[in-house]
Amino acid sequence: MKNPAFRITGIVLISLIIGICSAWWTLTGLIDAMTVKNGPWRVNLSIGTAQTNRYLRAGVARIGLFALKNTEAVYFIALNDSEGEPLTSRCDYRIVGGDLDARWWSITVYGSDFHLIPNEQNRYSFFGGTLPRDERNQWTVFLSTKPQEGNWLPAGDDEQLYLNLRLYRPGKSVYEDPDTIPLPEIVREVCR
Amino acid sequence: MKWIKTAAIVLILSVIFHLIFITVFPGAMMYAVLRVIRGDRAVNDIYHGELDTAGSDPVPMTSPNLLKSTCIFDVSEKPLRITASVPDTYWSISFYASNTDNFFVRNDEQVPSKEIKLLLVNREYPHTGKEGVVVSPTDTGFMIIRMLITRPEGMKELKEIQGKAVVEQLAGY
Repeated sequence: MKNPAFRITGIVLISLIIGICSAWWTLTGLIDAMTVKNGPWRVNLSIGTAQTNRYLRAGVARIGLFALKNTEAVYFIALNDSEGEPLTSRCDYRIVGGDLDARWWSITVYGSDFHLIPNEQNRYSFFGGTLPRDERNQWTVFLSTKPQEGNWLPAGDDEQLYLNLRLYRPGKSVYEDPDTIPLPEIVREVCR
Repeated sequence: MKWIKTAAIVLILSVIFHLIFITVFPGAMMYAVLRVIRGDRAVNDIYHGELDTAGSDPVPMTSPNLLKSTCIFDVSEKPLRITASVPDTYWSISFYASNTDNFFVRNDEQVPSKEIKLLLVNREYPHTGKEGVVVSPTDTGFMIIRMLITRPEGMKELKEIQGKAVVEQLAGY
């Protein structure tokens, strides 16, 4: 490139592409890099606060704008099952858990675009207070593309699913021991 | 040696563009989402929404269990008075700065009566220490009132309570 204008434009364009792509790649991997891990769940307790660093703030803007401070709500995200395999609508899952240390909680499934998955039942979530318990005080939710008996959460046809376990007005144990508190298991059943 | 100099310039510029993108992205994302939420409504108007469903959830990872009222605010010239009724279910009011930080939240357990009155002001307001005065770190931002829906039968009653939430612009500072 003999023309200096072409050379400068080329350098700026290449730098712009590298800069934006590297930033987007960083945000894409951010969920998995969320600091605290508990089984398949990831959480960052500084979400929504002024202590949030610029990367976390940008990551939250991509996957969950308007998160609340952790005194009000804590968001545990899962993108893998309990064996570490990615959550996908090609497989059926059994999500099993007990009581959680919060005023109320819910579990919601999202597609690869982080939005609610369309389904005829308009069912996207289960509210903890209405889930029936078994004799061991455990509840079960079935995440599957095919209708299931019981608490069925339709999974659509996405390659990557995300679960969001929201704990509103969480108890002290959630802040102090987010990595060890009992959280639901995500058990993979059959895959197609 | 010319290519080393070129590579160094590309590297430095890439880092600068990377940081600019990461810094600007939350505000830009918030602006884009708020444009969809706002529609034809004016700034400082409250909007009482329905439960989010697939296709009507402009915000990624929104909660489909919460009935939301929202308001894009601008307190640069005038403060806002927010009045809302508080139901027996979970309820909260929260404010977000333009960089998406959640700078204030109150829930039903923290409101002694069944009604809440707040004054949202900018940082130049002189009486910032007063009870019920909320200082926004940025002139513009977003407010959300959330109400938990646990059963469809309770929807009508909660919609009535939701409709009582009002945002009024007061005289200038």
